[in-house]
Amino acid sequence: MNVRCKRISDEEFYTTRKEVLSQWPTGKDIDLAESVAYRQQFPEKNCAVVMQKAKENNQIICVPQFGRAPFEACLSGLQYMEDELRGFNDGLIFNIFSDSYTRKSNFALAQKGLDRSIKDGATALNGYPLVNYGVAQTRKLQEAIKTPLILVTADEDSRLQLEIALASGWSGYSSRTLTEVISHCKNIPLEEMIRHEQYEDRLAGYYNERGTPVLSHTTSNLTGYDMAAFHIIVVLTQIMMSVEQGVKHILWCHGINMNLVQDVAMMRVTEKLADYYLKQRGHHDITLTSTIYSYLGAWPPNADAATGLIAWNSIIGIMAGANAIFLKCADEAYGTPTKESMASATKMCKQLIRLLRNQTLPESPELTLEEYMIELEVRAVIDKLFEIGDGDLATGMIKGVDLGFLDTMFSPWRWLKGNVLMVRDARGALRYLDHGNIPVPQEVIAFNKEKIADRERRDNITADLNTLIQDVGWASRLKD
Amino acid sequence: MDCHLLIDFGSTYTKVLAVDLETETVLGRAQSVTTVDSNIMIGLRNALDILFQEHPEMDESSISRKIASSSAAGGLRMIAIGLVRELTLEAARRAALGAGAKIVGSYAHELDEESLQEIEANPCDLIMLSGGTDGGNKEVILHNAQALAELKKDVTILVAGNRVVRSKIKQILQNAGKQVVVTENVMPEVNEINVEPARAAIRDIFMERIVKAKGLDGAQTYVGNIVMPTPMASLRAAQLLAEGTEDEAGLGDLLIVEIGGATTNIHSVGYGYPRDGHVVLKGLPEPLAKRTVEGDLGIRYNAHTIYDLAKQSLRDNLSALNYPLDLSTVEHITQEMGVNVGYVPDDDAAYLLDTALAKTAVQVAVERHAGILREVPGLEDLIPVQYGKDLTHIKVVIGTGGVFHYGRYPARILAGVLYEAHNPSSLKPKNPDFYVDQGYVLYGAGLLAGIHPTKALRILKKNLHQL
Amino acid sequence: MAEIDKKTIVLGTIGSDAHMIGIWVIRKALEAAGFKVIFLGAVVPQEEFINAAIESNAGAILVSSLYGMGPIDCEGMRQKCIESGLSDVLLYVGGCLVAPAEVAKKWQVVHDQFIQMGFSRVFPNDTLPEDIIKALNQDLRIAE
Repeated sequence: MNVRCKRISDEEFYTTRKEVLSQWPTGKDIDLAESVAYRQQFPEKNCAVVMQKAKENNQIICVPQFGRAPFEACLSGLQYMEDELRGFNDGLIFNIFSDSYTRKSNFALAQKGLDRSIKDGATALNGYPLVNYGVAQTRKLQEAIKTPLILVTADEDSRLQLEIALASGWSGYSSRTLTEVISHCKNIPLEEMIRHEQYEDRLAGYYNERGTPVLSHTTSNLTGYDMAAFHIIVVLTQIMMSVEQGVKHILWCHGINMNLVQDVAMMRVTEKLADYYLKQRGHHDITLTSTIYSYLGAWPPNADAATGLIAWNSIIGIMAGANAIFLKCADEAYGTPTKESMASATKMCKQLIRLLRNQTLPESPELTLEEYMIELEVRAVIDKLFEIGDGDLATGMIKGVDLGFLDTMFSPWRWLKGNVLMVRDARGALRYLDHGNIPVPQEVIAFNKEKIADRERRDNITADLNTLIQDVGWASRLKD
Repeated sequence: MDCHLLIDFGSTYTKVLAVDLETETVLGRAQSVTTVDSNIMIGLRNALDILFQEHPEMDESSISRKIASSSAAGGLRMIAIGLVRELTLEAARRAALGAGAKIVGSYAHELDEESLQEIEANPCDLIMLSGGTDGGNKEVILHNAQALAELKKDVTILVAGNRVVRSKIKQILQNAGKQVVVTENVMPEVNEINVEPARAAIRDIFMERIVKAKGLDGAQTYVGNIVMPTPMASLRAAQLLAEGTEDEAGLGDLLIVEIGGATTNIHSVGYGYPRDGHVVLKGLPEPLAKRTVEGDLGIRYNAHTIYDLAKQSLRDNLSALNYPLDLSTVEHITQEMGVNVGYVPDDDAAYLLDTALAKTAVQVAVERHAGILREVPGLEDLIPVQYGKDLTHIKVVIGTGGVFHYGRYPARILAGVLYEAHNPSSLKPKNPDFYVDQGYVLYGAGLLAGIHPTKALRILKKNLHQL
Repeated sequence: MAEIDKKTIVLGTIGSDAHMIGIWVIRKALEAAGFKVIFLGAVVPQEEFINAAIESNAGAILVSSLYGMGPIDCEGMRQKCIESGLSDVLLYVGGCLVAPAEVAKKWQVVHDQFIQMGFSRVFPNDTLPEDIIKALNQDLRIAE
């Protein structure tokens, strides 16, 4: 049976669940009813609750990330950050990432790495192997700290990871169909990825329906070189897919491109259209909050320069009115984030929040025009998806990829057409050099051309592939 | 009652399967020896007589429709010709196998005098000529067309190569008085296969010419058209079972194991892409529905070949079953099986031997069918490279064929498909559930799928028995 | 000898595909310049380049070799081409043929080594796509 944008049946969910839980022995320790009861013991230590409160109280949540293999190292890192970041009224959420083997569902190798980490006392894995640790041990992590935890992972299949995380009292995960395949995957057909994500969303829905909310972090992290409208389409399609499974609390997220006006416009259009599409589809009880993720393109191999980027990314998030900021740290180019470096980055972000609170980017003709163009393109593409899918979004998405209506650059995913070319304009915003087969409205195409022409005049060049190559490194170059 | 009769003129037996579309059940089945040498209808009549005798509530008038497949009179014998062995020749072979053909010869590059003589002497129903991507190499396929034009025998040639020269090739062959059918290139671009048009063309040729040529047209008054070669029906059923329809869920990716006296065939449905993003997928892409035929692994005709080829596995399998007799006796018995067409097992030891032979055949056949994972040295580490399909995640394995019908240890036999830790490069299923198509419903579902896919699927699902 | 299709180019990487961007850019540039690119991706053994060139009648094979693995992987390639009836096909090699620090010191040596192996042209790491296109047009005698 083909995937559809509708709630998967209990039969399908529980049948798939048996298979998911059998991927590693720790799966059999999970009892849904018991997990619900366990989670009900700490209703406030919850990502969805924190985000809800933040929105109501005009706070901005910082989300640093961390992950280590020996349990003690992971816990002490989180505790360290909690201590260092005390005394700040806005809240925190900690983003825990699992290691690469776990992400690839290679739990056997993760086990080897874990055993070695424990023996050597140093981390041999680049993240926390939650599946190998299992529920009982992983519960101790959330129990020992005040800050709620969100699981951040990648690759094709994180279903067992999510089962463990939620049963262990963590309260957030990344909901990521298109964004995942486009940024990380090679071969998996979209249909299969949709199934995986529907399962995860459905599991979140299960917990939601029993009074222990789960935050669905809906991202558009992509390749780092993606058009604003495309970011929005990825997020909105995911939101529409997720709510059918019972997801109620969504923290939508954009990886930003670092042009202030374009990024702020991107955030504002998302907010407007998320509300529009959800109401249109009869969903009136979804809590939406927003966040940004750091620039995903090439970073400078230098701590000071990287710090500049972190600051700029945070500022853009604040000025866009985001409810949270996901953070990277300066030494990420060299290895996994250290707790010191993460705490540092978070403190800087908090200071910026203090300074810039309520200084969202003011209205301007430039901002209005950018929003207008982005919205035009997003609506055109989404309408097209519904059209080719005969009213079903999942069908539309699959066909859309096939026809090149959903497309971007530099993706390793074999199913993406990859016919899009983009360069930066005179102010650093991304513009289409070639929009491939995307049904971009004429007006928007003209706008893009105009903006590129401005740059060509200023720099005395003709924008072409060489320009594109140069622009790839615009943020990572250390020399002019 | 809306009774449809699904008929297969098999190489040994003519089978009839009566299904009721209203209740979506099997009403009855029967078989009798195929009589292609005399009159094909005799075997069919005999089978029908048995059917109506066992089910007096049914008779000729209760049947509303008949559909038939055939692998009689040697099945569909094809010779494949391509350019590079791993590319267009392989694509042509895959098209042919998927259409239910038996490949009796394969040739790469330019045909020489000796090859042409072999082709002349080799009885076949169809020659498939491919080579060159569209707009790519022309010389070799043109050379081969000229060579085939010189064949004295009258055989249909299916041209499925470089689009740029196909009209020219058609002309060359027609001028030489040859029957020609032209279809799309099986490999229009490097590493891009396009087997469906060729499969459809093969099916059409089968229906129009080969059926008559084999004397099967005698059945057409009764049956209507014999619509496809038997293996194509099985593959259709496999695909239906995996994918489902709008109204009925499929079972997902699956593997079908068909063990016969003359061949062991494996069908897999599923793309089998690598699960791990680090694995690099190489080689000519495999079709979603893939069929391989191992002509040296039939458990009667090739019992002795199995013994020779996989002695260690056979020995292990026999010992796991506590087989009482020694290996030299086994050698003797397997040699006997090859010549004694009517052999049936008659005691416990004989059943055990059949089980062991079948399991061994399955092990070898699935290993040939499944993809492989190699490690290629990179700069600092090893890069995993996959060729073919990753079947490790398959959850449904189905056994069909005589040995599952009359045999005793189906689960043991199907265990031959399993992934083995000591041979991790062979991407075989790790943890599937086993099923048996006990009533031999598979081909029937494949035939019915053309007109009533959902009903065919439901009937098939009902007749799969989980072990 | 078969008549080649001057505008068909086989492109691939010997070695892993950690950085897609380089070869992605070359492919786009070639396509924009009107060439037909048969893109084999990464971890491409010699036989695969050659088989693809045979079936498609390609005028040139572009081998991208990363991380200094070049000489080992490319050895014998011209001989295989000749055996396969492709004696006239252009063989270009480029990428990080030696470790970056070594380039300035050893370039001429490396260059000559590959020419000796039968490659038609050898390109250093900072080659721009237009240099490759210029070379192809020249060597394949395609009018600009």
